[in-house]
Amino acid sequence: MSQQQQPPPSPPARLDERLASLPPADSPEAVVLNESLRALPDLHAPERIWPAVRKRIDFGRSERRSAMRWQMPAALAAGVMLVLSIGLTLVLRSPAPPPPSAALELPTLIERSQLAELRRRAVALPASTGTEQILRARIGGIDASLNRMLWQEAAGRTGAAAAAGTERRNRLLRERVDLLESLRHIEQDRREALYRQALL
Amino acid sequence: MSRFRSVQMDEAVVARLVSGDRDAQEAVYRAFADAVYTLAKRVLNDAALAEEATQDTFVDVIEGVGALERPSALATWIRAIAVNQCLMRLRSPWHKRRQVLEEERLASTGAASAGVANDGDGVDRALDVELALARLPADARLVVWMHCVEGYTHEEIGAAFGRTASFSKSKLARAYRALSSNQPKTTRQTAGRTPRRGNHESAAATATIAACAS
Repeated sequence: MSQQQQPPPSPPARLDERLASLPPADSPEAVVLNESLRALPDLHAPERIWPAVRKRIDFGRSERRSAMRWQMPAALAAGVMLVLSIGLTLVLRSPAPPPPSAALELPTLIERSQLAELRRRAVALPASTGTEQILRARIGGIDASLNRMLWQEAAGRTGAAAAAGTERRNRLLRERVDLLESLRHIEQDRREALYRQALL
Repeated sequence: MSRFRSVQMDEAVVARLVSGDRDAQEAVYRAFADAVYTLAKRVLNDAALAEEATQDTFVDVIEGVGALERPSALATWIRAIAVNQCLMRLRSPWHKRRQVLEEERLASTGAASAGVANDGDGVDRALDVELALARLPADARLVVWMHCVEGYTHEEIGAAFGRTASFSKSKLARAYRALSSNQPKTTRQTAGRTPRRGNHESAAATATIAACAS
């Protein structure tokens, strides 16, 4: 007599099976790890955070007050901002960058990188935020990696190593372009906020 | 124990916070800043990002305190906002790209760090745990921290990620496996026993050293 075939387990049952095969969260190893994690010391928040929070709260309040008191000037300022934005866009506008693909070649990447830098430097800002500093640090890190690769190329790397190097260099350059674009967007937002503040 | 739950906050201060009192705002910040920063730093694994998340958390807390229904729930509410700030950063596209660079950096420095001799000193042990945690993928780090340190349930973690409790269980189990894999046999045996009093710290240290070497 042929045995009746069992139906395949349903997705939740499969998930339960998979979970059952993983180490349980109350295993002795897990308990030891949990205790080690809980025993980690508290970190101290840097002192500069509170003044920054205070400043943002105060700025938000004054902005709201101004908006209520000076609706007409605000509307006027918005108009000026619009004109400024259009002007800036026209001045700084360049053809939209092509979507990233494996076919992107080195000259295109270098050109896009340079264009992004030029657009970013169009208007200087007085200080930088934490995010901008991080982005700059990452860009700096990529530049350092690219420089290192140039040294290695100068040392005469060939064959598979050279091919891998080209791929990595293109990836770094794509990353650099993306980071520069992010930085430009953040700086543009801040620049607009500064204009708005100055006009109000 | 959760850093947040250990903070005691007078209800009168919370009431003043709701009414917009500046001193109360600072008092609440001083009481919770370290807890928020610790959570953000451990999860995001980046001091600058953690500062930013801490700053945004307190701006949200102060500006949105009107939405707080029960003063006694302040700590839980602040913690939820902090977790949300971390999640937002973990989901951002440029953070995901940054992860690639970070993984490369860890790959190049991890081996050297894992080779650091551990003499059982408390500082070394904490560094080992930190390193083991840092080597986990970002979302696994958040799940581990939320569950093991902050005491979130799997259902709550699943909801925070917009997923089910199974997602959290699976992430946590994988994280444990990642933390405890490649342990030398002797360490596995040590960690497999219930640690004796006095031997507990060295068991924790060996388990985490081995986790670092994974």
